[in-house]
Amino acid sequence: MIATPTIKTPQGELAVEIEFGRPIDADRLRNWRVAKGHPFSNAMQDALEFGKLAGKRWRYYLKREEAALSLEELVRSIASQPQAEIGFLLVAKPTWKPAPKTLGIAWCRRTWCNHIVLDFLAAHPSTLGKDYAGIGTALLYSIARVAGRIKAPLVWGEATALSAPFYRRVLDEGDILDHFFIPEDTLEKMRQRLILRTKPSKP
Amino acid sequence: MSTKTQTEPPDTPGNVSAWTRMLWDAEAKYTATVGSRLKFGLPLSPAKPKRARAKAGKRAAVKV
Repeated sequence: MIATPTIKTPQGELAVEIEFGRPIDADRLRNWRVAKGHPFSNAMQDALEFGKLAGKRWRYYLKREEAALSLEELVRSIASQPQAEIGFLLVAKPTWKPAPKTLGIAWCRRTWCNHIVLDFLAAHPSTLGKDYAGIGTALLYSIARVAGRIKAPLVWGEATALSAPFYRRVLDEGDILDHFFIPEDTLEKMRQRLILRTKPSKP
Repeated sequence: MSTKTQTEPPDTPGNVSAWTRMLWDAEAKYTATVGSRLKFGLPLSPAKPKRARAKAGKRAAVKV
């Protein structure tokens, strides 16, 4: 576990556990569904598709041994190959029941020049339109934590038509369209929202 | 000496910063989804349907 940020849930404000993804998490992503009768909005379609694509990409990196399964492993891989591209999946897990086992995911790549590319970020489709808020924010804060640990000064990603206004708020920039850059000062601000955990990830 | 200043304590249930709350509201309204529909490593043609497998009894019969 790398962080326990707080989110808003139908049961009130609760902490989620953010962990590095493991093989079983990719299987869970394949099983993301939307309950029958639920309005299938564009946001849900994005979440379903991006969740599945993230799982697929993660399995590909895992097969090529270019994925990190823990923060320590990521740090070790960078130390042994400073210009390696290394992928990692962050998974948001609930600390309460009943709830989806995977509340959200973020698939990231550490690039050769030590930036982090956020390729996919999605909250479980069944949390959209309900009393949940902050799953994506919690994942962003946790990515900032990883960035701090590996001394990455920049996180960048591709916003969708729906999420661009969210990133305008995050970065306090009104002109964000399909791409955004989270600089070091915002990453530091995000890290300060977290209680840092020293408990190492499972081997 | 560290110059890092922490103006507010970290977020905890029941004690969340105004900035985080503002992001929650924005996320609930717009989502924080990131991604593109670039199909990574998907086959160019749709998968062919698998052939039905014969029952064990039939397979054994063919062998004989």
